[in-house]
This record gives sequence, C-alpha cells and structure tokens, in this order.
Amino acid sequence: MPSYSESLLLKNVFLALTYRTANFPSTLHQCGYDEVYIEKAFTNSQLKHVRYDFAASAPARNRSVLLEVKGGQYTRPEEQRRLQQQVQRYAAVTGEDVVQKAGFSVAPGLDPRQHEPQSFVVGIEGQMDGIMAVIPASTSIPLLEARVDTADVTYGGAVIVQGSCTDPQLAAHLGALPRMYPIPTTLPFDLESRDIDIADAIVPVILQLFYRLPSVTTFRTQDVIEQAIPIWPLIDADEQRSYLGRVRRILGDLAAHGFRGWFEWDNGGRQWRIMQSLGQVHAERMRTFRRLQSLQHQALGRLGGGHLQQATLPLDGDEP
Amino acid sequence: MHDVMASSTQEWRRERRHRQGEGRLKAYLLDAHASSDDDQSSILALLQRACELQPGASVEETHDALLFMIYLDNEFLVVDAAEPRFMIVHTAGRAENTDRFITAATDALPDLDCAWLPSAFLLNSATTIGRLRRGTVRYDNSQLLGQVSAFEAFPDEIDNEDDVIDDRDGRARGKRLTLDLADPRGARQALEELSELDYFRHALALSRVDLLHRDPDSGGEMYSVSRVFDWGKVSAVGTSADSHLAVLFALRHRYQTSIERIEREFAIYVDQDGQDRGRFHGQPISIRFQVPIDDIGQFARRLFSSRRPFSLWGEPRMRSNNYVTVHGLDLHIGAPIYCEIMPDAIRVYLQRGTCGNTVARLYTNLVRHYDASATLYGRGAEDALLQ
Repeated sequence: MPSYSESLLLKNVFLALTYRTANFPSTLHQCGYDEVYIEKAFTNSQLKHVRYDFAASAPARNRSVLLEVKGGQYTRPEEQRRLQQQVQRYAAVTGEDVVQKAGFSVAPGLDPRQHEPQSFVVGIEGQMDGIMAVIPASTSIPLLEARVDTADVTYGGAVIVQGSCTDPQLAAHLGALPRMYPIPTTLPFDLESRDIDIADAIVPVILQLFYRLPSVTTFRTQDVIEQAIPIWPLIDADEQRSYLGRVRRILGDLAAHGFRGWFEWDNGGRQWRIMQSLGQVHAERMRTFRRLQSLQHQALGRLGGGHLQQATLPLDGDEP
Repeated sequence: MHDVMASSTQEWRRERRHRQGEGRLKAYLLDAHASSDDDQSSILALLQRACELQPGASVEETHDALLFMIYLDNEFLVVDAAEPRFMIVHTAGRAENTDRFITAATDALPDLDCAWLPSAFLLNSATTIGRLRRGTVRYDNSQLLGQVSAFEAFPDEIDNEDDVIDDRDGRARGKRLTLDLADPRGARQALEELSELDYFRHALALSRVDLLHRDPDSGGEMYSVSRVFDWGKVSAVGTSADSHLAVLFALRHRYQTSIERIEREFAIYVDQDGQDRGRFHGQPISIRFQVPIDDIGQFARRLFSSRRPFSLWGEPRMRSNNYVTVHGLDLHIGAPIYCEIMPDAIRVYLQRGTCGNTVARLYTNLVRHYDASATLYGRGAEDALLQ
C-alpha cells in the first residue's frame, strides 16, 4: 500500500535533489540548481498565467528548471485538457519572464537577458502513457520519468523519455541510478495523503500547543496546519479550504477516539479546546507522554485501517 | 572570583582533587531560547520560574540590567545574561546544590536547556581555546541497544562530582566504557591510538575535558584549568579568574555560532511575500553513523521513548526495512521535530523557530550512547557542524 501520495513524493524527490543530505543524490544541487521556489506563479511572454509546482534556479549558471509534477495516470479527459493547456503556456516562458517577473536571481556579471529556463513535465515510471498521449513529441517541453517506488518510499533516478534537456551538465546527471534511495519527505502531506499520514504529522503539533497552557487554552485548525506544512502560505485559498476541512475532520476523529478527553471541538468558539494539562513536574509530564505515545499508536492504527506498518514496532511496556 | 579560584587551587594542589561537595569556581552555560530577544523583565521572570522549583530559592536584580543574583539556602549564583539567550551562571557553591538547581530548572522549564557540547566540540574547544590536559570518556549504548553488559571499567581518578547527572538511569546494559586519559601531554594521542582498536573505535565519546588556558601576557604565571562537561558545566582551578572567563566566553562564542547557524541555514520555511514569495529555505541536517544500526525499528522506538537524555516523543513508522520516519516532539522545548532514520544515518528536519539546541542534544547523546564516531553535517560531509 502506498505510503504517500504520488505527487507529494515527486515534489519531495525534486526538492531533495537541490540539497545535499544523507543517502540521497543531489543531482540538481551538483548542477548549481539550489535556489528553490515552490508553487511559483507569474505570467509568460504571452501574459498568460503560469504556476509551477517546483522551480530551481542556478544563479551562477544563469539557468533554471521549472517542473510540472504529475503523480498518477492522467487518463481522464479533463486532466489531459488541463495538462495540454499548461504545456502550451510553459512553452511560452522566456528567460525574461523568470528573471523579471518571477524574480529568479542571476549572479553578478551575468546577463539576465541570457537566462535559460527549461520546463519539464515529470511523471512516475510506469504511469507516463496518459501524459505522453497529451504532449506532442514536437513540443519544447521534455518529459521526465522518475523511478519512484511508492510502497518503499524510494527513488532511483530520472530519465528523459521525450524531448531533450538543454542544459548539458544536467543532461549528463540524469538517468537511472544503481540503487534506490529513501526519499526525504520535506513536505509531510498533501490533500491526496491518507488520513494516517496527516494524523501522524499533526499530532506532535497539537501536543506542542499543550505546552502553552495555561496562557493558551484553545487552538484553531489553521494553527495546526500552519505549523505542520511549511508551504501553507503558498497554497491558494480554495485549496486551503479543502485542507482545513480535511484536517478538521481528522482532528474530530482524534478528539472522538484516540485522544478523547485531551481536546474537543468548542462549537460556540469555533475552535478546539485543550482539556488536560501535561503536568508541571518533570516526572509527571514524562508519564503523561508515555500514555500519549500509546494513544498515538492506537490512533494511527485505527486511521490506518489495520494497515499501519508497525509490525516490527510493538509498544513494549517494559522497554528500558 | 579571584579569591575563590586561589583558595580552591591551593586545595587542589594539596589533594590533587576535590572531595565531593567542596566549592570550586564553576559556571553553567545555558540556552534560554525564549529569551533570545527579550528584555530584563523577561529574563527575570524566567529566573523566577526557575527559583519557584526549589524551596528557599530567590532571584534579585542588580545594578547591572543583565546581571542577576540567585540565592539558594546556602549558596548563591550570579547570572550573566549579557547574551540573554546564551546565559552563563557563575557560582562557587557546592556542586551537589548548584547542579541540582540547574538540573531542576532545565528539566522543568521548556525555554531553558543546558548547552550540549558533543565529543568533537569538546576536543576541538580544548585544542583551539587552550591545551587539552585530560579527557574523560564515558560511553553507554545500553539505552538504545538494550544488550547485556559486556565491559565495564572505572579508573579511580574519576571525579564523581557530576555522577548524579551523568548516570541518571544507573542501569548498565550494552557496552559501558569509562576511561580517564589523564596524561597532560598524551590525551589526544591516546585517543587517536585507542581509536585504532576495534573495541574502542566507536566508543571514545568524551564527556568532559580539562582545558589549560594561560593569560597571554602573564609569562605563564596566570592560568586556569577548566573542566568542561558535555552538558555545559565548566569548573575551574588555577591562578586567574580572567583566564577562566576567557575560556567561558570562547566556549559560548563557539557554541552560539554553531547553534545560530543551524537555525539560520537549516530551518525549513518559505518566504511569504514580495518577489521572493515561494522561495524555499532550509534542508535536513544529517547525522552519519559509522556503526550501522541493526534494527532501526527498535532503535527508533527507544530514541523516541520520551526518556532522558534524548527527551524525544514520537511514534516511529516503518516505511521499509531500511527506513523509519518519525514525526516527533522535543519534550524539552515542546517543539515538533521530524526525523528519518536509516541504518547508517538520520535526517533531522527543524521547523523555523525551533531551537537548534534540539539538534545539539540529539547529536551529543547519540555520540555518547550509540556511535562516538558519528558526524553531524549540513551541506555535505565536508560541512561538519558542532565540531
């Protein structure tokens, strides 16, 4: 069973390729692409609105890569129509657009007018047919196929399956890798994530709020999401509403089951009310947290519908 | 300070060591994260909360806005908050009293923690600030591995004044190693030679160093020998309190620089406004092990068990046999921390506003309780942090 949504995994893959971290390649970083933008919106040379999932600029090389990330098969007509429109707009993005309108930096001494952006559409290996059907081979937008194992949360390289990369240095670094690497999940969840993954990420945030007692006794759903998702301010209003509804529902489930008696929905105040303290004395607080760990284990097990991958992680009461 | 130092040095020369409970000039380097840009009243309020934890303790302001006095039953401490976040607490009081006060405060108050000084930081501090005179290795992997005791050795030179804090658990399992490298000329060499031996290679975690520092203009007459502990305590003997202060300020500067860099460069956030809207900042910090973890599930479970010294809470999720993720909470400061655990490395993600001290505590204790040769790095293996 996939652990994360496919588009989230792809975003996390390309984000992580821009920095250097343990057990993961740094393909984009090695080519100088280390200035990163998420959900970057601007207008192209035809004054049409574009909004990229992910963009990385290499100021010292006067280049940038802009990615449209497509997790899933893209076989539905409305998905394909939208992708077609996006590709047409991306094809009209110029260096001037990304430097002057999007604000990508260019190293001193380099001519911003010579900036070379390249857009890519990225999909997952084995799921590219729907995407390839939409994008004609004649377009300037190459298709990049990422080798991602969604069950193991691993990445094994990216290959251009249509078109070509205009940056020879980057082109030399693309390709299948000799092994699979655990994907850094810098972005913890999105709207397509499972309840269990959202609950996993938000519970520590809720417990953090308990530390503010007694000066703070309530919290809003938005307070939780703002803390949990680093890119929250970039998400557009409609999508934010969807996130709020989704997280509110999961909070409601946690309040009614796993964490019953710890927090509850205050209908009058339209916010969540903290019902218990963690304790003032260190030893008392530690006992409380051990209890909360057990509750979290049960809550995630419940939300995972029995698929919680915890077989090797029993809760041992007699742990040292 | 000069008087205390002179008398304690005479005593030290006579007996070569202090009996437990006797006062030696000492200081505690603390990280008061919440006070980073706070005023005198906020610092005072924090110290008042610390005093409320101990019956009979009280705090008073002084004529200097950033200097405070704390009175315990039989001791007093001077708090230097010139750097409000990285405070130094000076005292000549008995360790059993002052250690207890500091430990109670850092245990109970989320916005106050010890400065955690990992083994490599101690060693490099000793050799860059002064000269390494002595090093003490304390290593115990029983908490994370939970195996039966395999080795134990206690040299009789060990000064046990910190035992209350060092061995809070007290139960011995796994490999437990204590070594005192007291040769003033050979401590570093001994460490290097021992690290060639398989048994010691990944267990040589320094828990404290003795650092000799001489006042540069005194012709060698004025000096201090500072015993620097990995939890930020520094006790000193010698002939110069100025030398002791110089060591403290240098340690604070090295620590502060590392912690602020971690927070500035690695915390994850996005710009919200202007042309930089959408610009993504930060990345995970990596801890690389040379000893592969056999069972990362058990390891993660124990690491995030809420227990000291790690003080991390979380529910580990096995993503594969070689990959565990944990959305956890640093119980000390009450801030979320996300970790990805693999057999040979951990990736640590910090939110903006989270204290870099969380990383220092995790790394210091992983070195001491799992792999003494572990390295902490940011932008690649050559970018070592907290060294």
